[in-house]
Formats: sequence, C-alpha cells, structure tokens
Amino acid sequence: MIAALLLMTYAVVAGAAGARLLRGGWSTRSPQWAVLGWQALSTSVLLAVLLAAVSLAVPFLPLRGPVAALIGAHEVTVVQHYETPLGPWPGLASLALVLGCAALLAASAAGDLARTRAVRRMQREALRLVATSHPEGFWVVEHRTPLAYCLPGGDRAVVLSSAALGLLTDRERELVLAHEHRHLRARHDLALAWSGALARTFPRTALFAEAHRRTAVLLEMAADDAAAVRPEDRRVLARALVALGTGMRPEATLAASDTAAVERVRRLVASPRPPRRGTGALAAAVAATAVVVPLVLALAPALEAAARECCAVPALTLGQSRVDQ
Amino acid sequence: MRQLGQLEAAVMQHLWALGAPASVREVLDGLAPERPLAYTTVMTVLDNLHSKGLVRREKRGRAYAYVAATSREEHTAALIDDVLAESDDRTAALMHVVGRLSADDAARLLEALHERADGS
Repeated sequence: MIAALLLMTYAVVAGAAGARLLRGGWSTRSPQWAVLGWQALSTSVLLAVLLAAVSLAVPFLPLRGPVAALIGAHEVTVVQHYETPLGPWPGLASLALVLGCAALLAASAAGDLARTRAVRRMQREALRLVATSHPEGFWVVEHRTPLAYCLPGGDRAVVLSSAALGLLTDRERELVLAHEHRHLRARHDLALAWSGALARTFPRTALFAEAHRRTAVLLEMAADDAAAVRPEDRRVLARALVALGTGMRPEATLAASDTAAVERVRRLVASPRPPRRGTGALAAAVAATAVVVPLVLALAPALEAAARECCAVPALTLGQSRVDQ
Repeated sequence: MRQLGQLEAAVMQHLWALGAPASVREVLDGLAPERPLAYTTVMTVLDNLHSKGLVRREKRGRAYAYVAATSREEHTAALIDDVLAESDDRTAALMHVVGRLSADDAARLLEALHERADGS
C-alpha cells in the first residue's frame, strides 16, 4: 500500500510543482526544452497514477511472480509489501480503473490518428488536383484568403495561398517557409498528438489541458526561433505573422485574437534574451528523472524488502534449523 | 498509386480546361502531346474519377462522355474551407503558420515593431 500512497503523493506534488516551474520565464527563452518538460511531466504524472493503481493489484495478480523475480525477493514478501488492510477490493477496483483508462487512451489516440490520416489524405488529393507547384518547394492554391500551413507526416507539404504569396515580401516568404519546414523536420505534430490525446482522454485534468495549450504555443515559438535566427529576421517574421494573421478571416474584424498569436509576435518584437547555458542539459536530465521516478516508487517497497532479505539469509544458514516458509 | 494520382490530376485539369463533356478518345488526344498513354489507361483513370464522384458521365452513342462534377473554383473553395475549419480543438492534422489576429491587436503590435525599429 505504501507504493500507491507514495505514487499518488508524487503525482499531486510533482504535477503542481512541475507546472509552476514550467510557467517560468525561461520556458519562452528555450521553448523546445519547455515542450520536453511539459511532455515529461504529463507522462510522469500519468505513469504515477496508473502504477499506483497497478501496485494495489499486485498481491492478487500473476504480476507478483515477475515482480518478485525481477528484484530477487520471495513472492510472499512482495505480497506483504503491496497488500492493503482492506483486502482484495481496492486492488481489483483499481485494476479495473487502470485497464479502463488505458483502453480509453488507446481508443482516443487511435481515433485521433485515423482522423488525422483521413484529413491529410484528402488534403493531399485536393492539392494534387488544384494546387500548382512553386519552384521553391511548396504548393500554391488560388484563393483570396491569405493562408500558410503545412501537412506533417510521410507525404509532407507546405502550402501557401496565392493571396499569402502576394502579401509577403521575398524575405518574409523565406522565413515563413523556414518556420513550416521546422515543424515538419522536428515532427512537432507528434508532440501535439500526445499532449492532445491526454487532454482529450482526461478532459477534467487541468494539468493535461494546460500542457496541451502551452505545448502548442511553445512549438510555434520554437519554429519561430529556428526560422528567424538573426535579430533583424525576428522583426521581418513578426511583420509576416501580423499580415497573415489579420488576413485570415477578413470578415471577422471584431473577433478576438488567438492569444498564442499575440504572445508570439510580442516575443519576436521584444529584444531576445538568450537562454541560460545548460538549460537544455538540465531540462533533459530532469525530464528523464521525472519519467523514471514513478517506476522506482512503484518498486520501492519490494526493493526495500529484497535488500533486507538478502542481508537476513546468511544468518539463517549458519547452523540454524531451516524454518519452512 | 502515385503515378495514377498525377494522371488523375492531369485528366481533371484537361476536363476543366475543356469545359465541355469529352470522350475517352478526346481526353487521350488532349493529353497525348505531353504523355504517351494507352487508351485503357485513360479509361481506367476516368472510371476511377467517376467512382470518386469527381466526374459525371453521360452516354454519347456507344461511349461515355465525361465532364467534371464540380468546377476548379468549387474544389479549391472546399479545400480552403477544410483548412480553415481545422482548429486547435481537434488533432494537429495540419499546422497553420499563425492564428487569427484582430485588427486592434495587429495595430498595437505593428506600432511596437516600428518603435523597436526606430529605437534600436
């Protein structure tokens, strides 16, 4: 039972503390590392909750055999360390919960994937029919609405509408293309797919909702940084984003802005503050730790038992009668 | 499959350019200058396009005459509508370069841009 308590405590504390950390100013100076942070935190909290439920079920499942073998303890010890005073019901209930959640997540992700694939397939077919190929390696679609977007995946593509092409200067176009290519090369759509799957499967979990919202913005910032490396390019890209952002739905002039768009352009306009050295290494280390901690906590009681056992055994064999367990 | 896709596109472009119903032979002749194609290939492509609902056909004597089901503009408009409908709530099937900016916010941001340009 200790494992379950440790894991739930970890989930709550790490979730709150981690989110607080990730909201800091450093996240917009190193957006790609902040994305890793949000992904690791969400995954870690999910893992902790699932393992908490699994650990309650360990005494009643064939699981106790492999767990015992894994850490070199006796099965009886494992049962002792994971059982609860309430008998089998918490274990069985939590097992049902884990399986239910896992099934929900899998179904949700599968549904997302199917829908994404269908949308991209239809888009590509339509592009093949009506779009023309531009020598700089993107598609142009005849339309009066300024649009620029990319289609991630195996058959990747970048698309600009004719209106967008007319609106942007040469340099602006180059930066917009670089921004989209960054999304495609770094497979940002995968990070969004994971955060989206969690947010949609567990809609009342504030952490997953916030992680998804921030991941989307931070990925855009990361692509902005990759495209506009020189300080003067940041202003050029900012101008391009404003031009495209206002053109998108010309009839909705009184509509509210997409807050991410405003945040991004403000960031590009402001003087860039370079990220502190070592941010990446630190973020990667913390992320890796975050994902491993739940596993360690889940196995902690059994590991502790195994450690004690392996110290106790020699005393028994020193001329003492064997006590049958 | 890739090849067929490009051929399908070429046939549709030709039908749109023609603007009038055309038989397999007429489409074949229209495409012939750029591509050496077999009659059966063009027939298969038009058949595929018909099952996809992209072309309609009517009997003309013993053969069919094919015409595009929707205009190129309508097709393009449908594509753009799909793109505009893809919002953040759903999956990131495609990624826009930027979201919507209201006229007010845009004005303020451009002002800030000019200030920076002058100041720095």
